Amino acid sequence: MDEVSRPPPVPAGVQARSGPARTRRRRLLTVAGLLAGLGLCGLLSLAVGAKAIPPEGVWHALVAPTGSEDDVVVRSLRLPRTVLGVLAGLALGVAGALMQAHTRNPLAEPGLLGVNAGAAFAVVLATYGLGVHTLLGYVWFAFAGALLASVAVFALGSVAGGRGDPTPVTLALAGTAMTFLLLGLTNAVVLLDQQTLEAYRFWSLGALSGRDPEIIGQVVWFVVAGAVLALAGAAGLNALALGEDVARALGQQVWRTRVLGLAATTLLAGAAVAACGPIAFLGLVVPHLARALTGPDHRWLLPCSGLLGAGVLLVADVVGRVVAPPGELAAGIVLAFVGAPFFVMLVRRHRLAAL
Amino acid sequence: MPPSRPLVVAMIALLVLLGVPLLGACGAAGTDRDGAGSTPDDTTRVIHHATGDTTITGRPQRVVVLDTGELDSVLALGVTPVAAVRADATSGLPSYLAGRASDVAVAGTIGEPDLEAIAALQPDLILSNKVRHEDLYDRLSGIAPTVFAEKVGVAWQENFRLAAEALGQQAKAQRILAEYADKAKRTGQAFGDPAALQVSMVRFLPGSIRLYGQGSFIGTILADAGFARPPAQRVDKTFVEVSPEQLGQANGDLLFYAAYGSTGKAEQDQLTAGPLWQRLSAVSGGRAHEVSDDLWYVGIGPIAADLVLDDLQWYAGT
Amino acid sequence: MTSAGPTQQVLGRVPLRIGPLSGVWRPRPALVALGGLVVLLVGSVASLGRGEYPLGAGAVLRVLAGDGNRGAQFIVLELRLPRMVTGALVGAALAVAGGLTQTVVRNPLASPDILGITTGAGAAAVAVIVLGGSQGMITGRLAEVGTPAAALVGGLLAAAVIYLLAWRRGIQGYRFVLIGVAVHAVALGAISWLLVLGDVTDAGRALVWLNGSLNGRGWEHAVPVGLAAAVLVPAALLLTFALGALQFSDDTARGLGVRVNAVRSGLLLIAVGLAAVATASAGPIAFVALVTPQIAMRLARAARPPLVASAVLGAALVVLADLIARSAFGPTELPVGIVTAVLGAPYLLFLIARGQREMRV
Repeated sequence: MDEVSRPPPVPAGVQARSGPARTRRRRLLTVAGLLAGLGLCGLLSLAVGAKAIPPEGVWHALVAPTGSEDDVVVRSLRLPRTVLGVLAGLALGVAGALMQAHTRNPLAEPGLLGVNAGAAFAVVLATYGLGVHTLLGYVWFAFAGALLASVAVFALGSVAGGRGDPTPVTLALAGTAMTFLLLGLTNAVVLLDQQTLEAYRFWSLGALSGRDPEIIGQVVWFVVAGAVLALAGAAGLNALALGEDVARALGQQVWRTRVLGLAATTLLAGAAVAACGPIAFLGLVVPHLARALTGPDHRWLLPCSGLLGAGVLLVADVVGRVVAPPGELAAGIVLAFVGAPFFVMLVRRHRLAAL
Repeated sequence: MPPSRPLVVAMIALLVLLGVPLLGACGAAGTDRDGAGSTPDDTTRVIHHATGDTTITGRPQRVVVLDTGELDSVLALGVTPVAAVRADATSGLPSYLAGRASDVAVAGTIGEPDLEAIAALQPDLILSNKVRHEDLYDRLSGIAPTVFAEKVGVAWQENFRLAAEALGQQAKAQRILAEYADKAKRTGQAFGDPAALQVSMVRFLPGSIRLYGQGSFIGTILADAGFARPPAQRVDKTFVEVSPEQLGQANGDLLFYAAYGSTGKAEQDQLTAGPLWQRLSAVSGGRAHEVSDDLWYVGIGPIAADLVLDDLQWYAGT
Repeated sequence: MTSAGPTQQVLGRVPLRIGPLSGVWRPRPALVALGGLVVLLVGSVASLGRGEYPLGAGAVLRVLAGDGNRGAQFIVLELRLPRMVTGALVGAALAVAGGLTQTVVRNPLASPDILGITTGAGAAAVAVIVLGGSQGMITGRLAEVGTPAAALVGGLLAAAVIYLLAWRRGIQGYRFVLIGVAVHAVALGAISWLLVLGDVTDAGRALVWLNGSLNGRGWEHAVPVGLAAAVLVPAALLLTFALGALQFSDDTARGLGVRVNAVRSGLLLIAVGLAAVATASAGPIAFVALVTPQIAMRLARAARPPLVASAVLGAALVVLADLIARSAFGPTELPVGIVTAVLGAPYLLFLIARGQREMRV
């Protein structure tokens, strides 16, 4: 697909160098490499934490637990957060790539659909009005809030788009306005009630720690469904990248591709924010990294973004566990501190693939 | 050129928004102010405090307090302030003070004191601290003589003396602090040799476990009672945060824990039911007690200190 | 700009020439500015009258003329007037900053909020509030700085970092935005982290500041914004002429004789200055910088944000929002930024839904 000529300027260094077969082999190798890297990150996440546990202790905890303190730490604390990290990272990576493709805006991230703001407002309302106080209890509210907000943004973007399609710009504007509105309302509630503020300020960090393992079971199906939808729409996205008119001329049903993509984004980003709170930077940066590895073909870009997102989130979480002893730093914060300079480097080195 | 519809809609919306408050403005409300009360003496003194020097004459009668520590201090001296601020718009004053401060008007929140309401009350003294309201000092001293403490929490005894000086009640404050010191010592001794007991202070917040150090209000009381502290809590900071993996550091010979709010309580329920908490020797030995968060961790001042000591004496008996 | 759509053909255009400058006199932006001014004036009088100590419009005017009792004088002249003036100036400064940024970067989503400048200011201010707060983690000199100064330094520092990192043989709007987003993300992360460091009361105070609040603002807050606006807004207006050319591609603009990099840097610098000073005074009042220029542009049916109209509408928006923030919820006062967000966002949504015209900036 990347042979299709793109509007100038052609991004340097990310274009295919020769025939399709070789490109395909290189991409398969990339995916294999990313999978291996993710496995490594998973092991790291089980082995490293605020409490020092030797590798044989970790092994012992995994294969033959006897209920020692180390066993408890590995099995009931580190294992769930690792699984959750993979799920959320995968979801955010794919959702970010989808968002950037649909809005054709390199600044786009899942939060632009109002997902995070919708989830935040729902969580705050549930805490303040309904007396929900556990992270487990927040999941459904956060997910519903994310869903409602993104549907509203999508509807507004569609209405404004004239032909019934949401255009990238109207979508982005509607999302920004909705985010401002919801965050304003959220802040109003938390400033009226200090207990809600207390819950909100920790929830909004975006973290993997302290999550009930049950949360995994609640969100995993949304992540799976979202990933399947995303891949189903990948080919359509490639056509859409050439512009809506070209896509239509190529026989694409633009509206169908959009709905598919935005449904996938909502499921994925909604699941991530419901499980971990808002993790903002991941969905923005990871697709840029993935694009540098795979090029702009969404059939490869989406899975690679997912794998990369999972790995990056795990590493950020591990760094957060050891960087502020005896406490921890939330993964969302680590991502901002470490991810942003990396992103700046990337922006300065390459002209990022224009979307 | 016909005006566009958004223009018209915007203007109408703005005018409607304007009209509502204007209508309300017609009903003028005066401020009722009863007699200023007797002024026992007219001595003029200069108080040196965190943001400058303030001249005060006599014993102020209409006092406004803008933080919980100051509220506790003036109530301890037997002065009922004309107004205080709440932590937020939905809750009241700290629960342990609610009974003593039922007549106190509310003038906004700690974060946003209502300056107009304070001015309308025509106070003769405003008490707060630099930590919370440094930005407002100029505005507040335009309303009434204002005295600011330097810190909050750990410096509660110093702040109490400052409030007493501003109110012209130094002798009474001295007496209260001496009684407190004596009671603290007796409370420690009720546990045998307090220096041999490591007392651990744990507080659960939503998503965070905090161990309170020596630089906190509760830390000063434990020190005055002569208790030792576990290694992780021998710090000058207000608290250290620990990872759930490091819950073992919360152990002590005697453990007191509390949770902030319902969400903190949910966190506490989850963690205290877990195997790592059950493993703590203080927990398995029945020496871990849940205490009132409002009193032990939110409360600041001589009244809170006295009530905490009462609690401690009760636990000494069990 | 002549391709701006059918609506502009309705307008009669009068060519205008002052010395070396020439332009087209468009009545509509001036009309919007005038309408905004009327709203601002009415709003100001209402704002001076409403509150815990209510005064009618007549009483307000009498106090302003020097009459009235001491209590009314104090409340109007010492509490409400400086607060109202600060709000109006901050609103105008933010709106102009937003309009400039959006035009230079050619992205309607660009505003000092998103570009990390106000977020940088926010991170510095929250650091002072939380670390200097009840935790006493910073003491001495650092704690003496105070929130406004810290916010100013933080905002300018963020801007400098963005500018230095984005500079590669010139400033390119696209790279500037991407770097700005990164700095914004770092500052936002720092804020979230700082908010959980302290006790909940400090977090609440920080959140009030972060939302943009005019509570307790005095002349010492109004004067710096006034000075900055007095210097920078005329400078921005002078550069407006060149700004029109920036709507086109860099090459076209150069062809028209505009020194692209110099003009762009100058305009961004002005935007940064205005945003930083405004934020230092009242916190990052949400939404004003982002949306006021868009609203002004749509009302004026212009191709890019009209600066004067944006400024007036920004001032009116903040003054009215503050009036609501402090009087609509009984004894509870909300930060003005919450009201600007909750009022302004639906209006923008309404405009978007009307889909009257495609975004052009």
